[in-house]
Amino acid sequence: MIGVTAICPLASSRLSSRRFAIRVAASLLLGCPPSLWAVSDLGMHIGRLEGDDWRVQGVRIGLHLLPEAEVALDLEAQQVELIALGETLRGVRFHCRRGTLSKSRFDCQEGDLRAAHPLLGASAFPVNGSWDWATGEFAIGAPELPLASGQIALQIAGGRGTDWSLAAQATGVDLQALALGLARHAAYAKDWQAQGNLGGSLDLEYAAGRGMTLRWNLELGNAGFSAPDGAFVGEGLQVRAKGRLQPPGAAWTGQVALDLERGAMLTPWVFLSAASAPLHAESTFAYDPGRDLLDIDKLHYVHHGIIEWRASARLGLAPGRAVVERLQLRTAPTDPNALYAEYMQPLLAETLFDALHWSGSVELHLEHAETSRAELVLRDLSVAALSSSPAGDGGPGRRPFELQGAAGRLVWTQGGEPEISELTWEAGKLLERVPVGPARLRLRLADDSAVLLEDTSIPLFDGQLLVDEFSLHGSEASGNRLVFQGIVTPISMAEVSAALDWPPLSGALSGVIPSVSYQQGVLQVDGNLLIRIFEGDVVVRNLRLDDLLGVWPVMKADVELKNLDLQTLTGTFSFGKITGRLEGRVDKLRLENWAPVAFDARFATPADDDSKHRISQKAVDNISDLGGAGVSGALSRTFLRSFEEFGYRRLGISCRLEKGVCEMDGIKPAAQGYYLVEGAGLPRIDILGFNRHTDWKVLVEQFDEITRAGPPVIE
Amino acid sequence: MHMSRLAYGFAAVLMLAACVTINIYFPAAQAQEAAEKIVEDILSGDDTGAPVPAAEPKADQSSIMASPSHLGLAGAVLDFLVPAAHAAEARFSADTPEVRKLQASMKSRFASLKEYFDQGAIGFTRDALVAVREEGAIPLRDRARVQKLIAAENADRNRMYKAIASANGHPEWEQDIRSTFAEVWIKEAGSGWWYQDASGTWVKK
Repeated sequence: MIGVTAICPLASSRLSSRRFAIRVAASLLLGCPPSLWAVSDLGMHIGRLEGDDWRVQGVRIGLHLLPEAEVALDLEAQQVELIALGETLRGVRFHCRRGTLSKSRFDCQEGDLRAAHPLLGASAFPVNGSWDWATGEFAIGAPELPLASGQIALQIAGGRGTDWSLAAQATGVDLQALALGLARHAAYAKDWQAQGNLGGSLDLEYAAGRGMTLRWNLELGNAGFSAPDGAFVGEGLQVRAKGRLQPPGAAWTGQVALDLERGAMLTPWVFLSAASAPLHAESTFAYDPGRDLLDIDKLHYVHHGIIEWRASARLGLAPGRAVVERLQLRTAPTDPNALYAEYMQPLLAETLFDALHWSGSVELHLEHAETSRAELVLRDLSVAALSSSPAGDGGPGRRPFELQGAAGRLVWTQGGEPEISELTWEAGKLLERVPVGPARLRLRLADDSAVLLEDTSIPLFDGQLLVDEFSLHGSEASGNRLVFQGIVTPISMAEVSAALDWPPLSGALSGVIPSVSYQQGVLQVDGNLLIRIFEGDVVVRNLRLDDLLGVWPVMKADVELKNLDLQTLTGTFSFGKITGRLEGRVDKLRLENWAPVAFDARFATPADDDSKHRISQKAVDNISDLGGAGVSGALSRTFLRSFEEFGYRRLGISCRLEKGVCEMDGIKPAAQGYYLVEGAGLPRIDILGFNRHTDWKVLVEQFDEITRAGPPVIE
Repeated sequence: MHMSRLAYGFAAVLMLAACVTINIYFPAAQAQEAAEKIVEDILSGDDTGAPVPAAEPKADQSSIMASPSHLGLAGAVLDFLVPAAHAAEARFSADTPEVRKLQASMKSRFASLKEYFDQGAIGFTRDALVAVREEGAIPLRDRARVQKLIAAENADRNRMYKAIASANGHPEWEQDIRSTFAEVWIKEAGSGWWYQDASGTWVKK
């Protein structure tokens, strides 16, 4: 046995790693004197071998001559460092039990390799190979290479010249073990969890003139992954990835196809699920590393029965300056309900739009280059918000909005020539009970604004909302700014009061909406909102609506009532008839979820009112009824029951509501209490109030009972 | 005589000391009562009414009854009778517009969160918030939504504890109010729901 501790001359030079094995063997077999061939065993030690990106230490080579021209070869290395890959193999031992050696060729029919590495395990695996140093042809095969609990059949072959190929066929590679083994290469993914089985094939070919081609056809089964914060999660994934990559030339070109057959994936931007239908995406691409440009062509995405789109794009991938330089995307006509349920709803919570039901069809065309254009085509679209605001007094919560039979073409442009958008609908509803009739809107959507191009009438109850002006301007600095101006043509109060669960009112409502602004959920009417109702005027000032369609709408306003006709006001009440005029004001009105929680209200007969002042017996009885049991029909039990009406001089009431308590007063103080109705003529009837503090809730309940009850029976 | 002088001197010393330290104790019982009303309302899931104010002034349902003697000869005098209310000042109040709004928002959200409490996927934490206990119990398609709901719920809860403390003029009570709520959430939790005990361990109710 000869120990060669000197470094072989060829091996000590700077070698390319690919040629390393070949040349070491060459130096061993050819560089040593022929006289040594007579011995049966040949051994050599090499302390250290080094290349550009590899380092081998403690190499021992042993060659044993066997009968019938066969040889056995032992190659050992204490440590093999693959610097470029950042991997180190320890205790590497290649043992060729049966090989043949001829003049220019070495074949190993039966060999095995052992190397200690987390991914490879500790046991040896069979390796065979051949090398013809006259032609340069070689082949290495490892049919049962263990990798991460699975196996790879690996075949590397080199032909004459510089052509070579690598083929790997993997089965049952455990993703968790693989990730664990590779963990230190991806520090950012250190806390990620991954599991699943990887199988499939990977082929790498290099041919002079054609360059390198990489092909893969991989299948990931029963796979899952999760990021430590739960933002990226995959479960039960069955994925097939196929592709081809050709790196040489100016650009890397290739083709990829991805099938998600089972499972679901959650990311902060999109939720993908194959639960209802498999997903398929394919594309060709070209990457120009010099200019950092990725061209995506013929991108085709199909989620069967949910959405299908085609796109092409050019992306600038320069670090820190990633940009979409060009994009074209067209969807096929799409069912918005499936799209919403599959892609949007899983990412929505706590908005007005987190529970919608859609029908109809939508289509989207996007174009982006120097200018941008987005076109949304709607056909027979209906949408309804299913979530409801919390219940108000006396009923379940209401669906915030609903729109039926919408159609049109909405075109948004940026930088280019603005186009006219058109939207029509057949019917709609706000808060479930405010009916909106058919309308046709012509809009211009450009840059950060939406502008209504012509006066538009939108039927509202049995009247109309005439919109003179509507525009919405978005700005990052000052938020969204809405400008609105319109007129409400008469709407019968009977419908409005029924819709809002108020006691039935008669008369009509009309008004002028001077200017409305909307910012950060707060709708504010600038100027005075004028409403014609009960033959008088109601002026609403300082109207603010907060969280209008949300769970807890709050309305604030100051209201002034002028010259209301009491007969019209009480007409549809079963309260009883009162004639005369009424004026008053409600200051600092605050409604929460449409129920009053605070106000300072005063109503009274105007000082200069010269109309006829009469109050019916029924009204007097009902006012007394507000006191509950005990005095019901007090009037009808006296001689006064023969009078149907009484005259009055003045009537009025004030109530300052705070913390559920109404602080009451009348038109003037009485010896005890205060006057609510001051009588006139004969027989004279005065109605006095005594309580200064009354419970608002009970007051409303009793008032409600009276106004809803049928006509009282007078004996 | 001697004794009274001694007592007088002692009282004077006490007063001097009292000038330095004024203790205002957190009204634990009233806070608990208010918290119970709020939590019961949020977890009731009934969809029939607006939030129940936590410290509603008690209305006196008795009435001043009209007697027939009010119906005089010259005319009838009728009482305008509605129950009188005595707006007694509650010493601990949790009824402010902000609290009502937060309560309504939490009540509405509870409808979405209930099934995850029922399944043990989420639970009440020891600091009176909501946290995911068993992520795997939430279907993947609902996970982002549940996380957003919990984030919004906890934002509302934190705001509510702060708002109640401020409403009572003692922002420093926030921690006491939070502790009170932590107990009440657990007390009012449905059976089978999970909560964190004092050491932070999840316990099934």
